[in-house]
Amino acid sequence: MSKRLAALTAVLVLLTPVMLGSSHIEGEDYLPFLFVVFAITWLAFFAYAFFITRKQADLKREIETLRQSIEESEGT
Amino acid sequence: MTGRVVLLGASGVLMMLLLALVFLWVPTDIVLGISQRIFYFHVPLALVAFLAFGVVVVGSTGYLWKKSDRMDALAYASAEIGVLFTSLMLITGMLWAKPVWGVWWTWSPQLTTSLILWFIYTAYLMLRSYAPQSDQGARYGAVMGVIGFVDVPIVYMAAKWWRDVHPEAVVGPLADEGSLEGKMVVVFLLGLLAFTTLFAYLLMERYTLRRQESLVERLRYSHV
Repeated sequence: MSKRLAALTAVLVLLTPVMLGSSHIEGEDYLPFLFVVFAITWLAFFAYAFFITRKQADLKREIETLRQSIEESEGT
Repeated sequence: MTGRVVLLGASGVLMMLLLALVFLWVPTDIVLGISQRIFYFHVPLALVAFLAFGVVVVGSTGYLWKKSDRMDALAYASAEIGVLFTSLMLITGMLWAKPVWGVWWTWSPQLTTSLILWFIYTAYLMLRSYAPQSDQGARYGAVMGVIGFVDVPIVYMAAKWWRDVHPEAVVGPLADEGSLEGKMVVVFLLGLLAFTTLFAYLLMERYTLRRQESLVERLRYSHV
């Protein structure tokens, strides 16, 4: 989970200047920055919540499998 | 489960409302122009990151005091979410700095101490991941989680202690009265509520996941 979080952060940090370029900025040109702020924030939260819920489902299955195999080994 | 659904729904509604108010209702800042609207994301992200690290302190102290696995899971979950919020705070700060200051990054004391905060709690997560024994990792992590929090008030005070390009605090005990216009205060408080609700939801989910990870570890150990 931490590795995925670090990777997500690195991608966002590296891509941000590329997406926006580095030219001189005036007046209405501020809008893309505002848009990118909202997009990045929402994308990051959605991605994080998605990773968590998917990992929860995986672990739930693994817990069931482990419990079953423990019960079987105790039964024999 | 119901509590989580309520929190998720509430944070979704609050975020939508925040977006509408930021674009349609709040006045444009005379000096900073449209870019000032980034404030309604950037500052709540920072404050909720501080809250997350505060929860790390509570969880870590609880673990050191009572050796409670639940408190350790709380501290770990909150540290991870705190790092996410701090990352977004740094990124949104960069996106605000470029149009206003002309650079993506400057080694301003407040930016530097914020980056140090990010490093401290990223190091905390790495320590927890690579520690040979989970008990040992939890103990060292708890100490680090508590000591690392020292940087939080330094980040907040940095703009006052070392004056530079970064504006002084406009919220909290250091803020001057009337530093934000009435509508701006309303939208800012709504943003703070939206992000705090989202934090609470993510914390509950990540806490559950951490407990599941511990259970899997224990079951694997007992199975071998």
